[in-house]
Amino acid sequence: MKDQNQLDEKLNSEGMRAISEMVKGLPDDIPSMSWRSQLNERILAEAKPKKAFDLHRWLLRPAIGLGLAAALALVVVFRPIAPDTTGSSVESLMIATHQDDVNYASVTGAGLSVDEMTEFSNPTPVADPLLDLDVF
Amino acid sequence: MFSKFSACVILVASAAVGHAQKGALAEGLPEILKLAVSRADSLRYTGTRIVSVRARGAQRDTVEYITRDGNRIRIDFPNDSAFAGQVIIEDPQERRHYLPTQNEVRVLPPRRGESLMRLVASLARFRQERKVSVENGSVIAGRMTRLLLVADRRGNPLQKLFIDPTTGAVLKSEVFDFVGTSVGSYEFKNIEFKDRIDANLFRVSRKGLRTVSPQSEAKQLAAKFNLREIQIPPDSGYRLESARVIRPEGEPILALMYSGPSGRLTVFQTKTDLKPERLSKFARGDIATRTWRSGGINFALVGPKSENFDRIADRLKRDLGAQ
Repeated sequence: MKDQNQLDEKLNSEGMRAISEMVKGLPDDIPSMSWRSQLNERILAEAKPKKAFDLHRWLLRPAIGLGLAAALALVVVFRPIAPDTTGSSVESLMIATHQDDVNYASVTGAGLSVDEMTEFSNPTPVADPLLDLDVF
Repeated sequence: MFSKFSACVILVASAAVGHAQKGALAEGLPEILKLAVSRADSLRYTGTRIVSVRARGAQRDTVEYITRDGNRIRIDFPNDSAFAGQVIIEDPQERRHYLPTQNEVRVLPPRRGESLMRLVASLARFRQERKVSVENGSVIAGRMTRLLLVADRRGNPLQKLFIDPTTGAVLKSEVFDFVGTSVGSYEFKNIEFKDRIDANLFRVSRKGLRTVSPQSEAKQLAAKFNLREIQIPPDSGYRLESARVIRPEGEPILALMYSGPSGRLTVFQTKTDLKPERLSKFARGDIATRTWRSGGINFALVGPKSENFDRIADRLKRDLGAQ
């Protein structure tokens, strides 16, 4: 109670009354209608592009992403096996080996086979045993 | 005594069956080819022929001196040849290849009659898919020839035979690949027909010779590369002709080549993964393929389509306990 009395006294002091009068004397800061209207128009103008941007971000982008992922998955899952026409695979080598054997056998008959031509080629000529007869 | 008698009976029966088969196969074939087939076992001559093959990107020409007495043949090589001193002697039972530098003789199944009979069998079997024509051929070894041209049904050449119409001797033969390139040929440069050939020419006597068979080679190679020792059962009529290792990318592939009643078969084995669909894609014409896996090793059988092929593939798979 004592504190309240002291506070009232301070508020009713000369200095506080002078400040109160000064604040009351300030003009009202109410925004004009034209300014408010301009502000509304600006907000509206800003809001439209923002809405379009959201649509792109939340619908189109994921749709494009999903589409690309699906296409990639299709390519991976249903990827056609490219025929190996290089002739360098183990399988092509096997067929070629067999086919060569068949072809060359038709030609060489009882003679040297292609493998024998490679394997049993003498690095140096064999001495003719008949040459020894020349000595006598 | 009984075994000798049995052997004689079997030989006579086989000869009769063989003769009947030849006759049946030759039906509808050009007369010049029939002549070549009928004289194949009775010609006597000496001559020189050049064998040319285009193998693995390289052209190889070999000169061979031929001495022939019916179904026996001896081949020698010139002194300046890379094969000087080597001798090949073939009779209806076997082919013996003497290698003086190695002091060994390699014993293989006979090959000579195979090519002509295979051509006849192929023509009989694929009558609808082969075109055969006969026209005047060129002069080969001083003799006028008749040219027998074998082509596919579109007319692409597969084989040419230049046959002497007087003797039935095939003086030149040429084989073509799928794009019409000549992959191999032989041609006689000279030939002299004889009434008699000295039988001693077909005997070679040399002490201390080591005998090597394709079976022993196949066994050694299988052990060396930690692969399986397998063989097509002899009662199937197929005989092992050669065993060799090819290495495409470091991993060895053992190839066993067989010859038999339906043509030539190759059995492959490797630890490299095989794609059956790719193997069959590369196989063209009448070539069949089969693959299977056993004990971590992949096997493939490649050969002409026939009932024999399927039977042999099934038997090999069963013998190996394949998956």
